[in-house]
Amino acid sequence: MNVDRATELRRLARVLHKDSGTLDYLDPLNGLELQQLRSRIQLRLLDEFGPMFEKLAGAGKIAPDKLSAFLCKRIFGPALTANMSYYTPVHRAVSMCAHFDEEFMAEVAREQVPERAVRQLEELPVDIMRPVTRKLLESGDFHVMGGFTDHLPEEKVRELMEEIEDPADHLRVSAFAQRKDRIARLTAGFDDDMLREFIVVAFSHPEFLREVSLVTAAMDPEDQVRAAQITDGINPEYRKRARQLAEAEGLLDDLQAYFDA
Amino acid sequence: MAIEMQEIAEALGTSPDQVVFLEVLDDEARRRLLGDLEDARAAHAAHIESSMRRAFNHVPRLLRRPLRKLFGV
Repeated sequence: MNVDRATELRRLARVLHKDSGTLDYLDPLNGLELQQLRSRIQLRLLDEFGPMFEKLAGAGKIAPDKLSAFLCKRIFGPALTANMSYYTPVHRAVSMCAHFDEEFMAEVAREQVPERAVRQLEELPVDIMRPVTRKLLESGDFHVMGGFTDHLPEEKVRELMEEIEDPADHLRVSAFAQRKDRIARLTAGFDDDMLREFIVVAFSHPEFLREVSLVTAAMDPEDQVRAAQITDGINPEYRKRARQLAEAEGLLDDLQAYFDA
Repeated sequence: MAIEMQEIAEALGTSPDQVVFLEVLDDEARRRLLGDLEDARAAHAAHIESSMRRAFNHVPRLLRRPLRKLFGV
């Protein structure tokens, strides 16, 4: 998998509570190295309080799930709940989630490191995740959604993407997701009208053009051809603009089918 | 004074062989990285500690100290 450097820098900046512009001292690092650094920092932060959260999670084992969920919501709060979740058996964590409301679940999601919650994400019913997705969307937490997009099972991402109506929001989430191949497959599944909207938004907002190029570059050749045909149907000049960007970003080879169509 | 990789590795809670990819950073970059790591660590600790304080405020006063001791807070 290609690791997009700009995406990774945005994610690292979030972890460090900094503006990505202040991280220019990390310019010598490529995308993969930034990803390794971010992952190492997140582990370090989690491990610092790990033993305490393990004890807290262990102490709650004897309480019924409903009571534990109540304690999480009313006493521990989202930050402690998120940290305890890594030490809670998956079936129990999933059962407790059924007792949380979407507001609390969204707060917990903002505190979680998706890499550490993969098993829970696999088991959690998508119907519980839908309202949480809507909450995160409302609050503009695209960085949280992007991180989860990388670690949720792809079928669940497909279902949750149905909650996102605005094509610009798809691109905002994508800007924080490293799995562009996954976004590409999901985007290729759009009908022509939705894909047209997606392309119109990308070309009318310069800040999205790079993101849509990365997603298109990760598409299969036949999907790139379809995207090219729809792009030409909107404005034949658009592909010329896309080519300039692709040349500057070194994406020409990956977008060959798109430009050859 | 030059910043050794050992110091960076310790700040990241690992060994120098796990962060060889950071050797490319010059001294100034290493210094800024250490500063950002310390800021992030302090912010995270403050966030967790304030969350713990809020949680313990729901517990009767007499039980707070033994519970803190039990959980190592």
